[in-house]
Amino acid sequence: MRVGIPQALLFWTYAPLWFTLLKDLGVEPFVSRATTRATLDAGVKLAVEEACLPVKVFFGHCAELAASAEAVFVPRLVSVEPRAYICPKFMGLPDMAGRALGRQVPLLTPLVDLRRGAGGLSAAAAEVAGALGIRRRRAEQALACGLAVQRAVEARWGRGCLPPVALAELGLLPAAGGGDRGPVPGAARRRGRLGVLGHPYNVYDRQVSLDLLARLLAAGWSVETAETIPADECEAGARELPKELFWTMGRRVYGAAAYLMSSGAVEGLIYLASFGCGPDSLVGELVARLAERRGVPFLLLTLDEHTGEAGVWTRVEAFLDLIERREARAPRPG
Amino acid sequence: MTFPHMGTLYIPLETLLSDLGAEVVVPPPCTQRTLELGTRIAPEGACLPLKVGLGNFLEAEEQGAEAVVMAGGSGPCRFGYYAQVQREVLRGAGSGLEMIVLEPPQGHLRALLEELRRWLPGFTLRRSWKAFQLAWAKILAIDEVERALQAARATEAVRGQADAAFARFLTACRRADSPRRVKTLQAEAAAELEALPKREGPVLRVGVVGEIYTVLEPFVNLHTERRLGLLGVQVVRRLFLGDWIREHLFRLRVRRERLRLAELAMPHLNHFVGGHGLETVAHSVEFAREGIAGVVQLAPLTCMPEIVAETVLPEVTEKYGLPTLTLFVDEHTGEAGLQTRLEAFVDLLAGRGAPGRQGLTRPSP
Ligand code: SF4
Ligand code: SF4
Repeated sequence: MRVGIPQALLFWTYAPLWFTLLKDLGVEPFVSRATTRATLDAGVKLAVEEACLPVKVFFGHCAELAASAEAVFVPRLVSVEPRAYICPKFMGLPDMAGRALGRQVPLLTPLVDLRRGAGGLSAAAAEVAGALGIRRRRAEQALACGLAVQRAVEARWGRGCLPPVALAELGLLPAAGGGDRGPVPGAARRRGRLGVLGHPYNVYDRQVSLDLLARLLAAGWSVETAETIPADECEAGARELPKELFWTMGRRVYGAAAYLMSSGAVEGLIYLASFGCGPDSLVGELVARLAERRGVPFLLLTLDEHTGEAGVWTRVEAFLDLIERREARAPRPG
Repeated sequence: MTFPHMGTLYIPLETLLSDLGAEVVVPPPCTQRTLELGTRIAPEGACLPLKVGLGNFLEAEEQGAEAVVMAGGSGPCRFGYYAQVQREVLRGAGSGLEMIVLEPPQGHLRALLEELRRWLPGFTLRRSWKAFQLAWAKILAIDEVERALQAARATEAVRGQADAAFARFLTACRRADSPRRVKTLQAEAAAELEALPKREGPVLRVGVVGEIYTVLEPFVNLHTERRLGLLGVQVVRRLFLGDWIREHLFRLRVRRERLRLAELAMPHLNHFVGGHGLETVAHSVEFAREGIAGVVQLAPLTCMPEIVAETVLPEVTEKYGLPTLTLFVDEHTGEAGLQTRLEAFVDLLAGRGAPGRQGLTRPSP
């Protein structure tokens, strides 16, 4: 059985786990092709106008998979850790995708809810197995393998490997080069270091981000993202807030921003937000205010389906110029 | 002390806080100025409740308020983090207002009382119990009279009479100092609304669903319910202030009710999605089964739970032949456009034949 995994939303975060789990359960998982303008247009047609860009992109990938897969993997991600959520839209994602696809293809929609602890993961794995008609015992094993792979990959990020590169190493994305828009190449000649923050599906999707990472790298900047910063540093950074953020990704992003600013590791921060995104509207604001207090150059880029590549890159270049002029005038100590 | 507006919330809240010994500044009613003040300092992408709330705070500060009481929350939606961001924004804008955030998760009612005690020197449990009783009586009375208002608006012979009667009731209710007095006022107002001269002709019943703040605050929804009433439509809804207080502040939503809603929303929406997204779907299904002519969904632009609901609502439309109209509002929404869309929707409902006919889905705003 061929199960399609949309290359969108939390694919960028949890693909190693999902892919390994499905494979070990004996089905044949495969990933949709990288986002293109056509994916986006297809998604826009399927979604309500008010939906955020990432959800539209997700629908575009689902539409592609509906034609080639026997089932599409659309987990219902309520929570991936105690006392936190991801985003209301993830909680309704299977229902939205079901509607958007007109129920043309069966969806595999395990409920992932870890608000009460890690038992939620076993339940999710068991649900997948159950839906596929596979014995529960195999689910536990498959989950253990999946988690091992996921942890190994996350450890790679923590050592500075960008997630798309790690995904390519696992064979989940085509390697860089070739006809496909492959993952971004590794770091480049040092011109300075930037933090590029935002939801992983905004930062790493080359179409959505208008290829920002690759362009920065090609221009000689090295980049840090929320994933390349050790998780415990992010946690510590996020704890500086007077009230804990209850969005897992938002907390990671804020924590990464706080860490990067206080450690002086970057010359500036770029935040990729989705237009109409609830968490981004608040987290982006908090990060912007922090950057202002700390005197770190900050650029907020809000993405939607109308964002033009040229316009964005012009703004980014102006921002980079500003950083370089600033550095030239007042070289940092150290 | 002040607080944000949300429909008639100011009445019970003023009663409660002043009976507890606070000096209360009720923010001036929401106006365009409120919205502008809030929008100017709020994050651009924030949803409307946050922006209007900020406007309320600034206007109340002009009238001498020193502290703001805000509810907190634990997600999944933005509301739970509003107060934190508002605090930062106010500070950044040079406002001296202090934020008192009542966080429900830790201990519900008890924590809430303790937080209040810190701020209210004359606070005793006995006194607070009485204050709560009176405030709660007001909430229930207002909700009841508002239901009568929805019916009266649709049939009044002289336009505006029902709203005028309701406004008089609110004024009196605000001053009422005992639950018994509130009860009397409620009965009088209901009788008055009932007795208004009626016009001839059929009455369409239309359900209103959506994000609760947008539903309850007429300024924010540009008086959608009144507009519908003036078009001869009887508005029906399930979301009232009392419900919000019960579930949000006190987490007292009865388990059975929650299961009932979940069942109604199935198979269209199979999980709660924060805010009132699940209610929107569940109530729409319920309305459809009750034979209501159509449903209007109200929400602030970018409202996440309502976008989820909006996505699956066409299924309800198809299954039950229930036309729906989704209205997203933000600071740029114009009255003229809204009125046109409401009129078109009501025309469609009025001219509609047998149920089951292809329903209307949302034309873009
Ligand atoms: S977190 Fe933001 S971008 Fe992601 S799905 Fe939710 S609203 Fe959309
Ligand atoms: S439910 Fe809607 S209006 Fe309320 S906080 Fe969430 S996004 Fe904002």
